[in-house]
Amino acid sequence: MLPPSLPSRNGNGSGSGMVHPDDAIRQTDDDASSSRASAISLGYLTDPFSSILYKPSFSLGTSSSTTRKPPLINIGTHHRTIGIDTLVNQFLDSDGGQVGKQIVSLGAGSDTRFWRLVSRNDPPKISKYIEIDFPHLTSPKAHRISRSKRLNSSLSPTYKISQGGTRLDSSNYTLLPLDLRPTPTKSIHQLLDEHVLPLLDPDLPTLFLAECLFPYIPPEDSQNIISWFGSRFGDCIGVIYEMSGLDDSFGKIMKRNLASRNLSIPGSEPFPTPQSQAQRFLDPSLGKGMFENSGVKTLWQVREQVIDSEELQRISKLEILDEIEELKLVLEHYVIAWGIKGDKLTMSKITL
Amino acid sequence: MSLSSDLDKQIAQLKRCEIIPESAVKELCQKAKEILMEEGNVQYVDSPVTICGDIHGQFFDMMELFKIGGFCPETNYIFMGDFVDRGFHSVETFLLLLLLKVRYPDRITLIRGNHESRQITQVYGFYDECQRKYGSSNVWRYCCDVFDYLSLGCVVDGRVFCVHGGLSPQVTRLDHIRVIDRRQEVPHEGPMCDLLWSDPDDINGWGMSPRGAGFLFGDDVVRQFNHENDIELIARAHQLVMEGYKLMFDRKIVTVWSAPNYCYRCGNTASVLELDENLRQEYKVFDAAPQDARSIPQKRPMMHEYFL
Repeated sequence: MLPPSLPSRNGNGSGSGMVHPDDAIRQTDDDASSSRASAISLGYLTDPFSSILYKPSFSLGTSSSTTRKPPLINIGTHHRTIGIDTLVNQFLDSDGGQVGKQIVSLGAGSDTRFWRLVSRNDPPKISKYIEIDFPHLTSPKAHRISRSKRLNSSLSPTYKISQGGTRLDSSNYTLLPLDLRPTPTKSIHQLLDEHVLPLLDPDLPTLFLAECLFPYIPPEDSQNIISWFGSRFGDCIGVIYEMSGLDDSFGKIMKRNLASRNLSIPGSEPFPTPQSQAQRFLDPSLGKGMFENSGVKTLWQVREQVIDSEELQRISKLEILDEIEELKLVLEHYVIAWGIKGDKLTMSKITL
Repeated sequence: MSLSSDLDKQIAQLKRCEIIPESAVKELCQKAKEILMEEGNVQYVDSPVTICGDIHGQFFDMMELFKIGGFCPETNYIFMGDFVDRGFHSVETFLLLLLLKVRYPDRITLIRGNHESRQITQVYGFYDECQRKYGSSNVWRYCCDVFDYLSLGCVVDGRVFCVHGGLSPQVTRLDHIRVIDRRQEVPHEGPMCDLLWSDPDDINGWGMSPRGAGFLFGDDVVRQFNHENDIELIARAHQLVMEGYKLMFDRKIVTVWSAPNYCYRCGNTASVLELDENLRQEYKVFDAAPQDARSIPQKRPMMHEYFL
């Protein structure tokens, strides 16, 4: 049976306000953040900042208002976090952790990674951390940061809010409202050159993170984003997390289910296998933005090969996971892929 | 009070996926318990019979199952558990099966699955669904009381052993099941737990289950059990198989899965196993019901969630 479609959020006279064609995509941040909140509350993950930066949006009344997610979602959220953290930590530790590093998080939403990193006992050397998202999402985030001593005390030495409350700048952190799609007059490279490049040092090792972003935009746009980072930074690593391998019956159902939420994922079409996700960093069409090596693991492989058995043992006690086959089926359809270029980073053997 | 005409009326109502009042559920559950308590831990069933695996509240898909398998009582059925949880219509699914059981006790056999448990249904949806549809947990409690009375397995013509999960190291003979006191919540360990939680696997002997309950058991275990008990086939459910059924170990054990497009997300086919009077096996596969306006719950949980 097909899943019933969501009650229309366009609210026939329900007074829910303006509807934007991007609402469905913006709503995905709520999926990610509410999943994260659920995993944290059940003890899968530790994150003291999540509850400050994310408030469930009760108005939508469906998934987001349900704080507790099914075990499969909690487990996947845990594995996704561990997998990406592993790569980010290796990047920050590369070169003995002496050189300042830069991180650009694309479609960052309510992500807490910056604060999780700087609050560590041995905080890594981060010279700049940039989070980019739609102004609709950066606005509440800027507001929450400015209201929370716990968050804004990490912004050195001080911070400034601008652009109608949608932007926040400090020397080590910038929250940037930016639609990454090309306009009739500006290419993606031009947009990034204009808004992002001035905030960064091209000579410093730079990581960009795209968690569930590329599926929603045309594949040529995402390749342009990859090539921009590859061409502007000598030492660069890209980390992508998204669904993959959607040519099978699971993928067909996923596309149909997402369509019922007005979500389409054109950016997944050219990547039918995990390997093709790794290959996108090495595509000759990237030109001088091409990366030197790349890798990929499915979330199932992250579970089997990356997460240590003690941690798996620990989380297995948090909830009863009733079915392994379903977990495997779902986790095999998500990948973490990475591409690396530049001597400083390729020498560090960053991998999952 | 359960006159067959009343039952027929309620069956017709449930077939339209309409719930019956709480008081009727209470009465139904009471009657069901009286019938089930007369059944053994391992119930005897005669062929021909149609064997079904997990349903998981996918009511409209169960209607597809009845379309291809025939309705009860025309067809004699065994349902191997996991009637509830996960899907949108656990209440309607279980109540319809229970009504059929009370109306035609000799034409349908219900075996307990690992989801027919107080603990699991509080995590995987049945509890919440009862709250949502009846405004209290009463119906959930009545149903859980019935769960405690469900058989742990059945044997068709003495030759085909049906069980939800699989075997237990503490059950080498069917007689070992008969001595279990089954009227309880599914325990965390022991033979009753194993029967509902274990899985066959390509190993030798017994192994740890990744599910955290029950065991994995290998070819040799099945061979030995079948030999010892004069069983030619073990039919079990419990594991999603994309093709709807999966024979293993030289056709000595089969997994039957009856929830197509499981959780409205997995994209799998489902099946039922028809055994004729000579115990010849025919697997009938079927797909999910087409979307139906009636199936749209007003306030539904997002069951088919993804990582977005």
